[in-house]
Amino acid sequence: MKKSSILPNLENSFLVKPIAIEPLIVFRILFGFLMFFSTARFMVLGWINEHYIQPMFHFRFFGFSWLPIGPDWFIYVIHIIMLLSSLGIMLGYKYRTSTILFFLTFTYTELIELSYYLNHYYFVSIISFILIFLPAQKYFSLDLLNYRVEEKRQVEKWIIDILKFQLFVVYFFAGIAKINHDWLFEALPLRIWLPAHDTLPIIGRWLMYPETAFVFSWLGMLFDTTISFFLMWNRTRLFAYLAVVFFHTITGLLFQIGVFPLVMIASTPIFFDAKVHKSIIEKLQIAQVFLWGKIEPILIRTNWKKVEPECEVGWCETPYVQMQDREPIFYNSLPVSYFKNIEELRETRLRYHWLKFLLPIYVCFQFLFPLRFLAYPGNLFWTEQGYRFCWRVMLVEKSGSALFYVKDAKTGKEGVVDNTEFLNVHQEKQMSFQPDMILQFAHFLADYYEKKGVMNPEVRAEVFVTLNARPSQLLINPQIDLSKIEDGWNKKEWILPFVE
Amino acid sequence: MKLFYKRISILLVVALLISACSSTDDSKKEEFDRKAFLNEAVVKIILPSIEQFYVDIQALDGQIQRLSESPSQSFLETSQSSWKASYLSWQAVSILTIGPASADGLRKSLFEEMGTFPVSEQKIEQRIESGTYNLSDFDRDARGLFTIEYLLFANPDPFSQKSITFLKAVSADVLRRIEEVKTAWNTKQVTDFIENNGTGAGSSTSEYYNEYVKSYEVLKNFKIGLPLGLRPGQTQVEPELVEAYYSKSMSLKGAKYHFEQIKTIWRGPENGIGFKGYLRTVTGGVALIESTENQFAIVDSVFSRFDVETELLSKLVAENDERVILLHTELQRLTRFLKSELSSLIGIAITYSSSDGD
Repeated sequence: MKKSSILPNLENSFLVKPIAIEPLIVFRILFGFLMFFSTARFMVLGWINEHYIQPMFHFRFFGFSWLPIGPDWFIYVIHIIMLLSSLGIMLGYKYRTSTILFFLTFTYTELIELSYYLNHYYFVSIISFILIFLPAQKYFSLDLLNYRVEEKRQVEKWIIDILKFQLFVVYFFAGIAKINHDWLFEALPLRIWLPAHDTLPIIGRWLMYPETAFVFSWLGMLFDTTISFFLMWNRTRLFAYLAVVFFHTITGLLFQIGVFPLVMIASTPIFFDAKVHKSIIEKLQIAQVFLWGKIEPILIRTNWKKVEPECEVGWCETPYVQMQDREPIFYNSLPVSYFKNIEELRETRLRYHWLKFLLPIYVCFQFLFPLRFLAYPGNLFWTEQGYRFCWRVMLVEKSGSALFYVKDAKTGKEGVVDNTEFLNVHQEKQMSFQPDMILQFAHFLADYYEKKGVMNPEVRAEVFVTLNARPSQLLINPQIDLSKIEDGWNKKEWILPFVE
Repeated sequence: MKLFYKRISILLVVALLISACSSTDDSKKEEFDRKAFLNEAVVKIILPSIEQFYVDIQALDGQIQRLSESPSQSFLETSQSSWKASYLSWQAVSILTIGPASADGLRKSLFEEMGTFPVSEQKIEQRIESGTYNLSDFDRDARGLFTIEYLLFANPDPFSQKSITFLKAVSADVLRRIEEVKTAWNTKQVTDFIENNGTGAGSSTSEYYNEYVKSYEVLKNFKIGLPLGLRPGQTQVEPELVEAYYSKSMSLKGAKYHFEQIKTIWRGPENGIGFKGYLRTVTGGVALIESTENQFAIVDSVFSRFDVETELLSKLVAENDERVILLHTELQRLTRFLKSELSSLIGIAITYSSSDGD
């Protein structure tokens, strides 16, 4: 078969050029493990109950309010499926089913409660969605054990690159979002947050100085905007990864940010050379040999062979030896025999054409969606229109007090709502400065009190919000009847402009 | 690589220079000694208020003992005045039910166990009649301070044997509870409280602040707003919902006393530290101190328009007295200063939930 005539330059394409599979395998294992840990942690902390079962009202994502919230047992079952499927991802067991189940269960739990939205949950949803389409079970997995899938030592380049791209997007957008006046020239909000952590050992006593906040702000901005480039560059990679570990450890110690530092520390090794991942997998294989006795099939599949101990009595130290790779592995060039038959070649070519079409769309979406705030006038940090799903993390200190008034249109009698009657502390805190949540809650109140006998309830809200330690000011028009307003992509005219 | 370090250090110097010349309004920061703040909170605020309340409750229990030995109008009256004193000292205790006074398992916080109002007259009468009751069950509206109030001030038959037996039992229960809390605040508890000087969820500062704000909301929503019929769905005023309804003249005085305590805790006793001292050391704190003090003064001026010694809150509420409505409005205006701005500026975590990380 003459490759050149059928598939010109395919092997040199930056999309489908075959490269070693190991980085993807290590990514799969780390991601699966971390999701298992994170789900287990969520359950142990009693958050299923606190987030999903206790609250009588749930804030929903715009466009997803149709998603039903199942009964209590259902939410528990969802989390158990999530837990098991994360294990499935880690071990490569029924991989495709596991990734689909994990993506669906995880995303479902995010979508049914907006007040707990975090950027890194969005990140997890994206990654698990991408993983559905990646062949991460084709090597060092339990699926191989049952010959469910065929072993592969190479993958097309885009498969590793799309994961790198996603990480780049996270860091880069987090970085450029920090290029604003408050962050760089006032060291806000770090000047508020850091002094609160002066009890931390060693660095604690430095945190009360504004100078420290300035250094942290600038370093944070520089780190986020540039780190992915240093991770991509061979000469700086190791140093950059150490910086990643250091940076996320510090923020993890300082702030209540859950598993986020671990997610980044576990994801960024994808930038390392395949050799590094190969040695990691070899170590895991050795560990596996010691853990299990009966792993012959997977050993064969992974180029290991059991050698009968020569010594008859006593304990033999290394019953397994690594065999030579059965076929040479090409990291940079494509052997002619790469495609087994014409079918496979055709498939690859078809896939290539789809990829040329789909990947640019995905990349454009990832670039443009975080920039949608440009379409809205006004201060983004104030209106929060186009704020979510944009990797804007730890950017502002915002807090509000929201008072809702419900008026009986018939009698004209107006009452003040006690928010804690319907919302938990976290929900109330989040709602009090985010316009779309205020609107949702107002609609809920209108429905609730209508059922309670209030005629055509009118709901208005007096919401005072403080942004980065400024005295608080009215966020929305306190006269407007929120029950008559619908949420949407349009500019929210009822948000009052931010006054400096 | 060298060039890289050089660039980084240049940028850091730039950052420091910017820090030197930016926003000069409140840049003279001093270190805030959170341990001193917590020490003041427990030693000068919490413990003395518990001590005072304990003394008053002991006196009340003694009076009730005398009343039970020889039921008479004069002993009833001395018990009543003893109750009034306890009611006032209760205001200070009820604000800060933290540490040993906080909820523990089935036992709710001291505030809920002893200060639930309004009480259920029906349940109380039933308990008097049957003579069987469990003072640790869920019927918190048939025990505690305001059940004693009912028995002393509104009981149609205050000298009956059954009624006095129940009164003694409730009084002994109240005494036992406050005694428990008093002894539980031992040296170790106090030290632990002061040493837990972080700002995360579960830290002493966070819990102290949470209880403080909650209590302010109780004053605004339950002591004033609810009787005024200001909840959505309420169609009219409900004067019988005021705190200390039966003793008549105490409600307004209690509310004022409650507000005085809110101010004292914020300012720190005897010009101490308090949240005010905390705010002096943080970004934006000076402006917040000013707006809070202004609003305090406004609420004070509304209170001064009442004669708290003689005027009945329940009566004023029933008449829709504009001063009470104004009081509620002005208290409402205080919310953002105490609730969102204070917690935002001092950077304390209120819940354990994760936030966005970087």
